[in-house]
Amino acid sequence: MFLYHHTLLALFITSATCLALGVFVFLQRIKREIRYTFFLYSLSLSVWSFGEAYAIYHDNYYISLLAVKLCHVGVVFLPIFFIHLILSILDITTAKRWIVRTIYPIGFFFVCFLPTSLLVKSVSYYPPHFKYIFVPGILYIPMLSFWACLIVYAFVLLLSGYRTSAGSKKLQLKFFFYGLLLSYLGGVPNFLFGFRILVPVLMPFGTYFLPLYVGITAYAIIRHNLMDITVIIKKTLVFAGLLTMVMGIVATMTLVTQELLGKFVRISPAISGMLAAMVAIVLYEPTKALLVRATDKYLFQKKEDFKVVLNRLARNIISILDIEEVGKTILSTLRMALRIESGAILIKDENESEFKVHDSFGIEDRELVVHKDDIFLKILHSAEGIIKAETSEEKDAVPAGVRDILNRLNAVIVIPLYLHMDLIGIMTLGKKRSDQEYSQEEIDYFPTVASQVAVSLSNARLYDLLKKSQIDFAQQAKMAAIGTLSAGISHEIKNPLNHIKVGIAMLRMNRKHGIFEQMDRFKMENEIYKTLDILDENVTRANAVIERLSSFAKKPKELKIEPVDLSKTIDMALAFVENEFKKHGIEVQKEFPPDPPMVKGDLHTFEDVFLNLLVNARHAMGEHGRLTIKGVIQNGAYDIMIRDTGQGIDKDNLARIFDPFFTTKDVSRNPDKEAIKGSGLGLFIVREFIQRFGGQIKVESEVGQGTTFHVIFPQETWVRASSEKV
Amino acid sequence: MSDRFKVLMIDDEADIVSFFSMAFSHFPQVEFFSANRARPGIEAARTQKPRVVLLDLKMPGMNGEEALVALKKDLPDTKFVVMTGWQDGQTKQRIENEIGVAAYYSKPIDFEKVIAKVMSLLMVKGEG
Repeated sequence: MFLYHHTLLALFITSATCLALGVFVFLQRIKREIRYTFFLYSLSLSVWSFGEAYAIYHDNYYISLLAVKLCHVGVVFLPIFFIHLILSILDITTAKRWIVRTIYPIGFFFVCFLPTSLLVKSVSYYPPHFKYIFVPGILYIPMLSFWACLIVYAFVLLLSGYRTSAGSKKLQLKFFFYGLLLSYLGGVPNFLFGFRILVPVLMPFGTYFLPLYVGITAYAIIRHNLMDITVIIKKTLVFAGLLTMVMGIVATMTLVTQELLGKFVRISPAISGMLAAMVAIVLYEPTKALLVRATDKYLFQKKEDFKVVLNRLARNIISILDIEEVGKTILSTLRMALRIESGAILIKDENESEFKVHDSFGIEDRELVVHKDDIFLKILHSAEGIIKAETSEEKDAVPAGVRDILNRLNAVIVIPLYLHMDLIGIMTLGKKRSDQEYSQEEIDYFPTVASQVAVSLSNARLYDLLKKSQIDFAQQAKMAAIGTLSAGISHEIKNPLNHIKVGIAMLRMNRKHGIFEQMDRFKMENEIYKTLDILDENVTRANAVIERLSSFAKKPKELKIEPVDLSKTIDMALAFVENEFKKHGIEVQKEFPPDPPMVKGDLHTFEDVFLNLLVNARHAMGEHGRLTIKGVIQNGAYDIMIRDTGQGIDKDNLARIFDPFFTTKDVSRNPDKEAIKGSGLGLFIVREFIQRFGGQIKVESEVGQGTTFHVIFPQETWVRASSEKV
Repeated sequence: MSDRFKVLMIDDEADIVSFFSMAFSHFPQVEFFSANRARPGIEAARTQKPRVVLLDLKMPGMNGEEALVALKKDLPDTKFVVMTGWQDGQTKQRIENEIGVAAYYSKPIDFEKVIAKVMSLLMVKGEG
């Protein structure tokens, strides 16, 4: 009875799962021939297993015989559909025609003998194992021989197809091959049994290999896109599992109740069936939940991981500013998340004429340069998205020049990196180490990743340029600052010039109207010398302004490190903005200790720092307010506070004000000052400069109250005026 | 010499005031005095009642325009001569048409012309 139960259960499960899988594949949008042949193959397996199960199960001789005959319709067509399926999966078109044309008539030929006793003679009672088992007829051996030939031929085809294929196709066929091998290993003993040959262990357990084959095939479909089925409907899979479970339970319950309870009470099959159905209904919901959880965890897990990892990447790379680091982070993350063999990032060079490999792993040609007129880029532009060249068909579809570049980069996926419609770089990905193909989900996700990578690369590149030419950048910022202050500056120069003009006019008038002649010599000389003094003073004043401006605007070739009195530096910077402050009714207070420490650094750099901070304070305050500049020595550090009574900065922005490219300044509100507005680099440069000389900058602010910047130089940055120069 | 013509200059630029002071010192009939801010300037004008006020518009604290409006009310007979560095058409129009002044000069000023204007204003008043 043991053999009976297991064979029965295994056959029922096989029948149900084969049918479910066949229907599932049939519903996919794949090659028509594969769809049909796989469905028919699955159907024949299902019919065979169901027929056989029913035959060994049923008490009635005639019903059992009918089931056996039905079962053999499946048996006869099984190898025919099998070979047809293998041919269509391997895409063999030349040899297929005559084979297919020949085997189908042979199949029909054998089926024609089913109503007679030539193929299946009868069923015979076969206790203790089964109730009824088929008795082979005269034609059974020829049919089985034909059967075996086809099966062997199909396996030979499959094996050779496996050997000649490459990449993901190879992997798919490997799974398929072993799955099928298992199924035949498990299935064949059922036939031998008809000849009263009992293969130990494989009978009955081998029959379980059949549902195992279904499982392997399903797995290969989900993970390796077997038969090019790429879209996996989670629900369908869950449903298939559910169906198996319900069928299994119905079968088990029927068997168990009849077997165990039958010893004591006579239970009709109807009651046991109802019992089984009730159990199935009760278990339906929890089983469904369990199945959904299990499929999520084991089948879809990696895809979730991939998204999580790439999301994290997108968040992290935005804050990385070193371009080398950005490249490395992106590649190592992709390598880990997708388990790929190779990858590369190409970046457009400064002349915008070529793309060079910026960073890579596992590629052939690190020196690869793609010219901007290269066909590769034209194809990439016209592709409007990524280029995919994973399968041999896809590779054949791309032009030879492109294929060459793909080979040199070991790439199967090419992702363009666009920033505002401008192609700034290219990211290429190699094949996966598992030989798995990229899933549609992954491919759909690449544009999102690409846009974030593009922004990060662009920021990092800007930052890189900025680092290399920080002085240039600071210079530009400074010139812009001077531009904003030009009204004040012109006033500073025009005023003394006007005084000079008036003084001269006065002297001329005295002469013209003979006033000098009426005056006594002493008074006249007195008046002339007094006037000359005033004129001289004004010439000096105008000159000082021009000197200050030119020394300030002069581009320092290199840094000159010397002891700097920051109090005096602030005075110099203040001279530029003083008029601005005065014009807008802002009171300036400056308070420094009598003998402030000298700080080791570059005078011009410090001037930039304080001018920047002063200009910021000026913009923060608008009309009226108070600017306090205070130098104090506390906790062994020289702390210079610049406090304004402006609008203040809210907490969120406060944390980011030193970040490059961060700005809150609204250009539209200050159209006349847009040169310095919005670059978001002012405070970033200020901090860079301060840090360069060992100092640090801190900020505290309260919305509506104002902002205080602390520029702090610790003792080790000081130079005593009397000590030697460092 | 109580019948001397009083001229008040309100300007924060000490150098300019010095030059005007020197120039007017050659006219014995003119009594020149000055203030460097608007508020003391208004105080001085109210007590001294000058014939002519020379006024700079741009000064710290109260500006010249506000001072002008206040003084025009208090001293209807006084003539006002405005000098300014602001090349602002609107201000000029407002002061010439709405407030009304005897003369409006933008910097750089023609010193001799300003002196001549002030003298002519004093003479006209004196003769009339």
